[in-house]
Amino acid sequence: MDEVPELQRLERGDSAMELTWSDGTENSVDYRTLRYWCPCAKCGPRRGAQDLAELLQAEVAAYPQEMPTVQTVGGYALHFEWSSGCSSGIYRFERLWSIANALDPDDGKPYVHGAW
Amino acid sequence: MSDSPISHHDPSKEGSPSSEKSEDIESGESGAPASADQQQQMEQAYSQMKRKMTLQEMGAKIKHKIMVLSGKGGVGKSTVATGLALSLAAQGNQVGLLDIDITGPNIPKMLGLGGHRLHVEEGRIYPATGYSGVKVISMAFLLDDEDTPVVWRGPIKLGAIQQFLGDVEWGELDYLVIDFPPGTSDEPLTVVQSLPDIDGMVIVTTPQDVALLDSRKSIGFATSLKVPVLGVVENMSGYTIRGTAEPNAEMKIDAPDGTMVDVVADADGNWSTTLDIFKAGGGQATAEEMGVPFLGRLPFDPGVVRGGDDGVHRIVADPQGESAQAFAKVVEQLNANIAAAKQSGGLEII
Repeated sequence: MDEVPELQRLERGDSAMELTWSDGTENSVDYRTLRYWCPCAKCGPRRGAQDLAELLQAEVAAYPQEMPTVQTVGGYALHFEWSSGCSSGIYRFERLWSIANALDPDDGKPYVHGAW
Repeated sequence: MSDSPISHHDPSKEGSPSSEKSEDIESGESGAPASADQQQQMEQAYSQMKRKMTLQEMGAKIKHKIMVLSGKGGVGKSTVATGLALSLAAQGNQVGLLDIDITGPNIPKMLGLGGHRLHVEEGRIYPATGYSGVKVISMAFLLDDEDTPVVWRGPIKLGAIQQFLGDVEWGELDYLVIDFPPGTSDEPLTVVQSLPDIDGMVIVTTPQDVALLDSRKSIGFATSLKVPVLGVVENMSGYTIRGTAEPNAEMKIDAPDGTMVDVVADADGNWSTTLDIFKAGGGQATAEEMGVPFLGRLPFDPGVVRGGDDGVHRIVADPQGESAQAFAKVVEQLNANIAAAKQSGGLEII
């Protein structure tokens, strides 16, 4: 992936977070979208099959609305902690950029993405 | 399988996280008594939650966290990590030294702490205290004897590392120096992903090409994780020999690289010269090539080896000696680089 702008600000709301990037781009990411694109080894493969992906989407939609705690991981990623559902994923900034800009964060390869 | 290997190796088991009980974890949500498996799972979840909270607190209680890595083994990484910790402590700082080398833990021996047993109270592990008040945690403290091998697969090692990070009562520290086994895999990755606000990595190398090649991998590792490289240290860099001869005598020394070095004795007949046992300047050249800072050179000093074996680090035995002074210079540069790294950027999370 091409170099993405640096994430400078993340403001958490009740149901979405507002992101501000170093190139001036601002976007809003709904928590349900964020959670659907979890890069962990359990969630990732489920997006590779349509029936499992739909099931994942339904699960995510059923999660209670909540604001996550956010922690930086090294200087390369963020970790979101939720009180319910999966909190395993480590989201690289490149992945957050893709999610925020409605690109495919898995780049068509949900099984191998997010190997860390 | 439990991810709490430390409790299995603590002979007392008293107060270890896995044996800790809480009213909240005695029964399931339904009110019915929890099965042994359920209770164990709940205890593990409780311990992990506590650990996560502790790791967040560590961010505030420990001002600077420095990882010491090398791509290749045998470059003196543990000796350098110990030297950095002692040198920082000699400046009046509160320092902790975490030995993450699970299968080859050497730091306690270098600090004369061999045979020490860790104190565990209410689920918290209390570090041993070495010279200059340096607090030390190492797998070596948990082994029955120093010849006992640790034969663990990755996930068990990771559990131990997370316990070392999250269950240890470090208290307030100015610096936590973390020593790793060679390489760029499980151990440093786990620490980067678990410990918030790491200041950066120090890469230890020796001047020969094989070590430099692996050092470039370590720098690449830091770059991948976007953790600042605080600098490269060139260890075992130059061995100084001294002698006496006739005043103003001119001599030729057969150097290890096959060249002849000209040496002239002074008016009192004393002479000295520094020979490059391996090569010279490779650490600095690598740092420049990779665009990271160079922290300095540490001399090849047989006293460091003897000190490590005797449990008295060279810095402690000879605080004004050449090695101690070289470490002090490295630490001075390290502090400058930490300050510079802190000033750059940062993500605001609201």
